Amino acid sequence: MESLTPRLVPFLLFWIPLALAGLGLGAFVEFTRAGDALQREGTTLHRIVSQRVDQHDAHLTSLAAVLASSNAESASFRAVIEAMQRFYPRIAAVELIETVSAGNVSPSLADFDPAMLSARVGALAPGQAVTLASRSGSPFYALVKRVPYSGHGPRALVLVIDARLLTEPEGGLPGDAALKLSDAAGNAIVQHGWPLAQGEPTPDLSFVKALGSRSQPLVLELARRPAFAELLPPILLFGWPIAAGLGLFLLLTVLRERRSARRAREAVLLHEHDARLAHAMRVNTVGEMASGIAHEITQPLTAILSQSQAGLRLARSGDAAPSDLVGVLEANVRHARRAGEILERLRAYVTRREPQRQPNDLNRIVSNVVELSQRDLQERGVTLRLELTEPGPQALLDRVSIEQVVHNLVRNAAEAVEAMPAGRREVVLATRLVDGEAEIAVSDDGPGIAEADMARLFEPFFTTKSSGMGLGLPLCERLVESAGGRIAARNGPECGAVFTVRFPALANELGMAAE
Amino acid sequence: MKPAPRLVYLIDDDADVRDALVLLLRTMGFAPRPFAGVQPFLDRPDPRQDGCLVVDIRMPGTSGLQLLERMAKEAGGMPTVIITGHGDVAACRRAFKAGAVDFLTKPIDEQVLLEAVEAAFAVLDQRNRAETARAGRDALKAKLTQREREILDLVAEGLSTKEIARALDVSPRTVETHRAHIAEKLGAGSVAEMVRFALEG
Repeated sequence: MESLTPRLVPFLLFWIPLALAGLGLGAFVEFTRAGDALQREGTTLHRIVSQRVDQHDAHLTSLAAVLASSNAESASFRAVIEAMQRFYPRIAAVELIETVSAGNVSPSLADFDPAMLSARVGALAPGQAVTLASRSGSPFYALVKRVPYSGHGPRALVLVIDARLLTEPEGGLPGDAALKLSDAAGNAIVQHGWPLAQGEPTPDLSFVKALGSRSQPLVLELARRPAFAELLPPILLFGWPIAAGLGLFLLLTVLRERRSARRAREAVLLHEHDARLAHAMRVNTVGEMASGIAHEITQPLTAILSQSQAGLRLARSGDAAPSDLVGVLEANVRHARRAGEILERLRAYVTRREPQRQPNDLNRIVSNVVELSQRDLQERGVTLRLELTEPGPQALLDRVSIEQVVHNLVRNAAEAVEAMPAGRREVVLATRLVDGEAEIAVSDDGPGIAEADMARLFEPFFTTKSSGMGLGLPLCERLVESAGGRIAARNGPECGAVFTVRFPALANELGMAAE
Repeated sequence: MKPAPRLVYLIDDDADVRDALVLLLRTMGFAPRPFAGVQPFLDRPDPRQDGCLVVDIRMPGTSGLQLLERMAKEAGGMPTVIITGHGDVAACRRAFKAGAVDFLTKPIDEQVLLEAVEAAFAVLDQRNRAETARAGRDALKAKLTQREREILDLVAEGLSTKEIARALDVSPRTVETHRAHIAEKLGAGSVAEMVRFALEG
């Protein structure tokens, strides 16, 4: 479970902004689309209403023509009005008025202010038409047209228009759209759903356009506020975050898989590299020891050659006692064995092979290292002091690896004390059992380790030596850890450095196994 | 009577090598005196000089080269053969500069060792002969008077009898007399022999 958090955090970090951005973009697109739809519908409705309004002018003109050829009481005039009202139900009434006064107004004109009506009629030129809104706020308006009349006083035809039917859309508006038709002065003639209710979080869409008619300069307004669900339909609201989450999850998973695959490859490479490096280091160490080893082997060879030649001389001289020759041959056997041992040690050290963990005596390891390092230490004028605990601590480890580690540590220590005055050119190799662990400690009297360097000692390529590669200690650490042990460095109580290598002591391990 | 075996001081820290070389040198007819290091050699009870030295370069404590260089500073160091486990050119040059007779790398073939030791003894003998001759000459020169020694030096500088007479403000005859005495005392038959005495003595 704890591996989930480091995965969840980057996922959320990408997913939340991605989901929000997608939703915002979707809502914006939906809003724009709704706005376009409203404009389109408004334009259509505006065109229809304009046509209808123009029809009113035509009606008035034809009524005026009928009136001119007959009179208001004629059957044909009545028939025209009836037909007109049948075909155009929005024309609520048709009236011919002569003198407008409070008394003689017909009931169909009761909604209109008689004074206003008569004032309008009086102000009109013959043939001109004007619109008058109702005084009661009912959804009707009057279209008043003055007609020529030979009698006294002005005469006018009045169409009472039901504005609700006038603004009836052909295809229907979106259910929640609000509509308003007002006269030029801004008085509303008809409105439904107007004004829009407050409190919705979304912004409003609106459409406003005046009719082109001269006689009826009405203003058509549409408004609507898209519902939240319209801007963010469920398929977008839920579908997008889920789709984005799934996509993101897949992407992150693929990336993580690729990264972990690459890490695994690198780890394999690194491991191979380590193995090669360890071998190279060993060969390199051997190279450094080569002159010492050559000298080591030269000694028995010299002894063998000289003994043999001396033996030959004795034998040829004829007066040699057999015991002399036996002595020579015995010495030769001894020298040859010595050379063989040296070679065996060298071979075991250089051969590249798998580490073998076996019970080993740390004292034995120390004495092997002493033999390997002795010549080198002599060259440097460094003395080696042993403080071995008896019996030697036992631990499970790969002998050659750990000998390499201890040899490295001894060489480092020797380099540290090389420049010291004669009294301090000493390296101490100690073994002991401490807290159930078998320990080898290499200490010197050198300058010690600077505090700043302490933390970086085991870092690869970190070195304080002018000619060092900085690989010795990291390699030691790896060799020790692969054998189940650990390596540590500290400064000595007075001066110098102390490196300790510890392994679980074998007796202890066996005891635990027995429990 | 067979001459006494000659002394070869052998210094090597490796016991096996030391034993083998001692045996080999003995079969060659020398009298080897083995030492495990420079210090025991310097502390030996009879510091007689008439021997030669075979010494290893690489040893704990004072190395063979240091011993050689130290002996080269003192007059009359022993002829020395250096032996070494590896043919290091720098060490070799240092050894010869310090007057080593030979520089041998281990393992050492008997013939090479024999020749080197014999060469060392040849150097020793040569040095001893020169020493003897010089001691003889010194004895003869001690017989000359002050005046005769003065005239011998001037003769060695290449001056003629007349020139010597002028330089010493004496008559040529007197100079001739001195020269006759010098020739008689040194046993020198010619001017050349007299000059040699003057220069080598």
